[in-house]
Order: sequence, then C-alpha cells, then structure tokens
Amino acid sequence: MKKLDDIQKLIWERSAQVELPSPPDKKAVWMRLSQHMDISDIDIDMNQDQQRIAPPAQRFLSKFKPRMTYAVSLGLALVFALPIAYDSLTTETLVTQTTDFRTLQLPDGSTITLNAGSQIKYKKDFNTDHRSLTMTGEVYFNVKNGNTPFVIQTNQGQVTVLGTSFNVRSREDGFEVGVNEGIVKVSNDSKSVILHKGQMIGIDSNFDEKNLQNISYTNYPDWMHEKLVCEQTPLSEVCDEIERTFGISFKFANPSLSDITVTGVIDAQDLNTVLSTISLLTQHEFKFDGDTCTIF
Amino acid sequence: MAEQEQILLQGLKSSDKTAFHQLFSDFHDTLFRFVAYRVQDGDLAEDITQETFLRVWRNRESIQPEKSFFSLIARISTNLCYDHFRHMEVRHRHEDFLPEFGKSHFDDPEAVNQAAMLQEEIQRVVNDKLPDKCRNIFILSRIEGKSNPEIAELLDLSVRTVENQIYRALKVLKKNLKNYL
Repeated sequence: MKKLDDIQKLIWERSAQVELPSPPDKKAVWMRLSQHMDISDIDIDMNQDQQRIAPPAQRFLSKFKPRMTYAVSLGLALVFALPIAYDSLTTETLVTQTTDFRTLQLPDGSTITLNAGSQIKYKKDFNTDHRSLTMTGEVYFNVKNGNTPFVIQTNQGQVTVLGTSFNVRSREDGFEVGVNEGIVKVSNDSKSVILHKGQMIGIDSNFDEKNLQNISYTNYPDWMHEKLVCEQTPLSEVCDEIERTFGISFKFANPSLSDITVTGVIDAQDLNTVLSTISLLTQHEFKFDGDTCTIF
Repeated sequence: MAEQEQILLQGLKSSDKTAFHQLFSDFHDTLFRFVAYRVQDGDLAEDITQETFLRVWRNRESIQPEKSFFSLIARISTNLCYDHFRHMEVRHRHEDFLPEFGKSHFDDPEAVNQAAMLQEEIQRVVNDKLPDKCRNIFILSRIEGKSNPEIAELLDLSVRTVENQIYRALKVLKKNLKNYL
C-alpha cells in the first residue's frame, strides 16, 4: 500500500466508525422473498403465455447483434411454433409437501393458499375462456371477480364461484367447503347447494340445504390462522392434520385411543404447544421421540 | 473467484432454489449493510436488499457464473438506490423544498460533535463523489472490515487494483473534506 499522510490516516480510521442498523432476521426475509419468487415465477409463466403471439420477437432480437438477425429470424419460425404446440398440451401443477404452506397468485389475480399436502392443477390457458382447476388436499381461495366462473373440481364435488373467499377441503377423510365472503355453489353429479357468507357444508354430508351449518368460529379456516379447531373431532383425524403440518408421525399405544374425540382450539404455531394442548384435552400422556409421537 | 461461489451460481442459473438460498445466506447481511450505508435508513435498506435478491432470481437465466456475485448485487442495489434518490428528489421538488443533506446538525451548534460530523461528511463524500467500483471497494474495506485479498476475491479483481482504488478513495476524501480537517 502506498504511504498515507496523517490526514488520510485519520480519514481511514474514522471511516470505519459508522453505526449502521443491524440486518433483519435472515430467516424471515427469506420466507418473504421466497413467496415473491413463487409469485414472480407464475407471472413469468403467464407472460410467456400471453406473449407467445407477438412481443417475443423484440425481446429476442435485442439480445443479438444485428448481423445475427438473419439466423435468428430463421429460428423464430420454430420458436413460435414449438411453444404453441407444447403449451396447449401442458398443465401447471402446484404441490405442497408435508410441512409446506404456500400462497400463490393465479393468472387471473386470484390468490390461493395451499395447506400442507395439497395439490392444484390448471391448464396453461387458465383465464382465457375458463377459470377451472382441479385440487386435492385443502386450499383457501380468494377469488378475483371475473367474467368467467371460477370452477374447482375435486373428487367429491365441484365448487363454482364468481368472486369470493372460501376454503375447500377435499381429503381422504372427507370434504368440506366454508365461505367467508360472497356466494359459492357446490355440486356433484346429482345435486347442488348454494352457500352464503358464513356457511359451511360439512364432512360426509349430502349436498342438501338441510346439511348446511353456520361457521361457528371466527378465524375460519383454522389453518390459515395457525390454529386447529376441533369440535368432537376424532383424535386420529386431529393427528393426521398435525402430521401434515409438522411432518411427524403418530402412534397409538392402544388402538381405541384413535376414537377419542377432541373439542377445543389448539394454537398450532409450534409443535410443543400443540402436543401439550392435546395431552391436556385428551388427558393422555405422550412421548415424543425424534419424529414419532406415541400417545399412551 | 471462489470455486464454491461459481458452483452456486451455476445452480442458481438452472433455477436451483437451494443454491440461491445459500447465496442469499452468504451475502444478505453484507449487502444489507452496504445498502444501509448508502440510504441511511434500516427499513428502506431492508426493502432494497430484498428487491435486489428478487431481481437476481427473476433474471437468473442471464447470470454469468464466472462473474463475481457481489459485483452483481452491488450494481443492482446501487441502481435501486439511485431510483430511490431520484424519486425523493422529484418529490421534494414538488414540495418546493430541498433539504441540504447533512446540514441538520447546524441547528444545534452546541451538540455538534466534531468527530460525528467528520464521519457524516465521509459518508456523504463516499456516497456522492466516489465512482461505483471505488465506493464498493471502500465500503467493503471500511464497513465490512475485509482485507484487500478478501475483497479482491469477492469482486474478482487483482489485489493491486483493490489497493489502488482504496488509495484513490482516500485522495478524493481528503480533497473533499478540507474544510473539516
């Protein structure tokens, strides 16, 4: 290093003595960032879909030197033809694994939140002349108003809406739809029923008006608010939900335990709280070992 | 440049989220302080830092893995800082009010601490007068406390260049701080 005079030395020393705010929690920043990344990935897919008719030409050419434009324009014919052939066949699939929980935006601006162990699929031309998708698992929908009806296909039934917020649960142990805003139509091959704000249709019921229930608690659906609301819910079902949310597995020391019912609101932010609340509600002890929880 | 970094950048280019997470973890805090030094506002620095990483992800396909990652994010964040300052300037112009940066302490001469003032002035000169490359090197050296060889590796430059740029920064600082010394 070249020789410094006294003034430069002073500046050198002083310049390091700056107080800066401390960086935010990296984990929290990453969580927010990764949501934005997912949304932006969907946006990119969507734009590529919309732009396949004209604008790509400009984007392509600007990247290349003028003398290459001949080669590029030749290639363009192919570039245009291929995506159309491929895209029309392909389907978007979004999956959440155990312990995963994701909020995404659909091409029509609707936002959806997938609970752990859920999947949705939609055709890439979603929002052109239809808004239909298929799902399994549990998904909360916040549907933007649109010209075409928003249609959700599940194995157990079909849900049709125009613009509203609601939860659909379609798992092995049953089907449930609950509406926070707007009006939703639920139907299967033979029957249909209309749900209004604050109503839900319960697990294992026929799609019949007399089976409609009122949503009995605020913060519906529970999982969106990191809660687990149980009303005479079999312990086995509660445990299934916890397994999906926290990626652990349950064992019952005695098979009859799975039939106990649980009633109460469980704070589902962390596993320890969940387990001790369940222990309290059922009056049964549990032992947690690695990733298996045994209930005695 | 570190081989590890090049592998991670290769991963990022092919949309590997784990590789990106690693780069994020390695560089987040440094970039945050780098931006905070420039904008002097923690919340704003947090936003700009996050936006920088988001832009990297959006443009991951055009990444050149053999080039320094810090240079890339320093450049993106610097542009975002300029956007912010430009926006502020326009807003002030509309308010018909242009505060003089770094003058607030003249309101209360008793409380003026000579040393604090000098530091503030150093920060102003670094932000306003130094060219981008020179500023990046100077901040990494003085704020992050990195050694010249470390900076050389991080920015993929020769140690010689780093030394020259630091010397250059000190010369510019001395010239601009005459009234304070």
